[in-house]
Amino acid sequence: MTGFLDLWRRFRRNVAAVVGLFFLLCIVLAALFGPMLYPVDPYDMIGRPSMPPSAEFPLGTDVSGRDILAGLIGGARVSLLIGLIASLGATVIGVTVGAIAGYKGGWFDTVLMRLTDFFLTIPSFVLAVVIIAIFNPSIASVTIAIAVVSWPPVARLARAEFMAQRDREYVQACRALGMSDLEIATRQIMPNALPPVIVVSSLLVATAILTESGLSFLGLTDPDLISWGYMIGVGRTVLRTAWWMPAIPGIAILITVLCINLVGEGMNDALNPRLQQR
Amino acid sequence: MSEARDVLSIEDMNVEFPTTSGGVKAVTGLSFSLRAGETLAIVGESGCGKSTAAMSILSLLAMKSPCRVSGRVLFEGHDLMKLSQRQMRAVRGNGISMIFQDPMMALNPVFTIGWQIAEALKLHLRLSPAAARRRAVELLDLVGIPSPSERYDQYPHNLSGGMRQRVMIAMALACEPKVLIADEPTTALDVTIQAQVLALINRLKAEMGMAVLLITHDLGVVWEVADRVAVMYAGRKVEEAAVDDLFAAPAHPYTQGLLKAASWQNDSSGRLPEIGGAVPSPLSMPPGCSFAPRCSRATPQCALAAPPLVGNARQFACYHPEPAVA
Repeated sequence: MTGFLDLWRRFRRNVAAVVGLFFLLCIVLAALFGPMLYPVDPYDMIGRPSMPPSAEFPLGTDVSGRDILAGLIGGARVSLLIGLIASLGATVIGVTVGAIAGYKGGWFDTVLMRLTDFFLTIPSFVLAVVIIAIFNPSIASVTIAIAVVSWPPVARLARAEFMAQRDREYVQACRALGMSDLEIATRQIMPNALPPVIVVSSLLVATAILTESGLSFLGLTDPDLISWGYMIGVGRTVLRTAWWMPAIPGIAILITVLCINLVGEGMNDALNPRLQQR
Repeated sequence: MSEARDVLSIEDMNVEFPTTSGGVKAVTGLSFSLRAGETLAIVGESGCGKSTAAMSILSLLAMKSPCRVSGRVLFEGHDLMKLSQRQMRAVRGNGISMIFQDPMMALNPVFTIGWQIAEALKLHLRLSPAAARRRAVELLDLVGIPSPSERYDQYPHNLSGGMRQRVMIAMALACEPKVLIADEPTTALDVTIQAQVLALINRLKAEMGMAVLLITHDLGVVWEVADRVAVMYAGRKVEEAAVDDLFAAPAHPYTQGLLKAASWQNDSSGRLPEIGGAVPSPLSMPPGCSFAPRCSRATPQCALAAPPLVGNARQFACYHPEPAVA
């Protein structure tokens, strides 16, 4: 517990990160409780199409007459959920691959790193499009596609950490005590290797949200779910007459991604062992 | 030879590291045995193969660098070289434990020291968490750490170097091993702490009846705690004797050089007597005695073939031992 307090104390010193965390919490709370406070069905055509913001529709209506504020709140759920789960998936894949490559070395390292390079050389967005095209566009396939294209950086980082930790004397001591490789890798090295990985995967959430927006802008998501990218895609045709329609979800993406990046930076400062002494 | 009382014996151990310019022999034909309750010190300068030999006993080398180890390592009658990975893990920490040179690095920085000791206990003894905690506190007390139950929840960086080495010793002794391999246990510590840690190892050795294999380059430490000494030079054992005999009458010219260098302050000339020359490169070992190029007593015979180890309780590998012992 003191560890978390310590972490918070160091995190707090970065003002931008604290501001980012505040707004990020607001967005998460809006996604969680928004539909209760603003009980409008985002899929329901309740007004005239393309209405500017007014008292009745705080952020106006889209081309089909759906409430944009309700869409924004509903879209927050989809975007955040996909972002979180996809980056969690990418982290699990990346850490597993990186840990095996870095700890085992040799033959394992060569094969796994060439595989990682293979994924790095393919433009990730195009690969995601191909994966979704093979399966049917659904929230699951989009999440999986994003996870599959975003693990390589995590794998490289985890590999470097495991390689650096592997030759430390405490690992040698653990081996001399009779621990197995699996125990050493998961219970002893992992907690040492994780801090930089946590930073990178928190930034992955932002990338995943952007990728999801891009995919749904192109119409490559679950057609029954409203997400921010989908709203931009719908609004792009009326950009000149009703600019707020794509701009509002665009700003939502911008703020969310910015906040996640700020929080990630703050985590980096808080978890960086070299800065801990100060 | 009292075979029955040997807990650990090494027979004809060879360790070779493959390099691009051919195999490098780090250890050549090393044999020694360790009896219960005794301390055997292996001394020699950096790179003479003493740590390599110690690591090879527990097969700890392979992970770091590819190498070929041959020979026999008999522990309680079983050849450790023939064990599977799994069987080997059961020996490590349980039958034979090891403590390392640098206590700053040998503890995991993200866990409390108590947790790490308890972990070692749970590994082999299958203790419940509560029992492991109790035993870990006892062990901290045993190695002389004040207020052990408070220290239990501290992290390695809260402790001084000497305290950390005590924690390492507590971890190594958690399962009451038969043999403790101490690889330069006091090199990283300052002199007063050094004496405390050595006294601690000696006390625990007597209490637990274990054998200690002490790897060191410090002859003062050897004099202090060892019963027998094996001197290594360029991968070979060149002399082995009881501590008193070795210090009183070293037979091998290398041992004599070492002792002279160690006691130079008693010398009236005030100059440090050195051993001329340098250790030959392991890539181009002389065919005969590896010390011959630096030896004042070398004769043509020395360059032809490596002198065999002669003697029984007092062994040396030299054609021209100083006090002409038979």
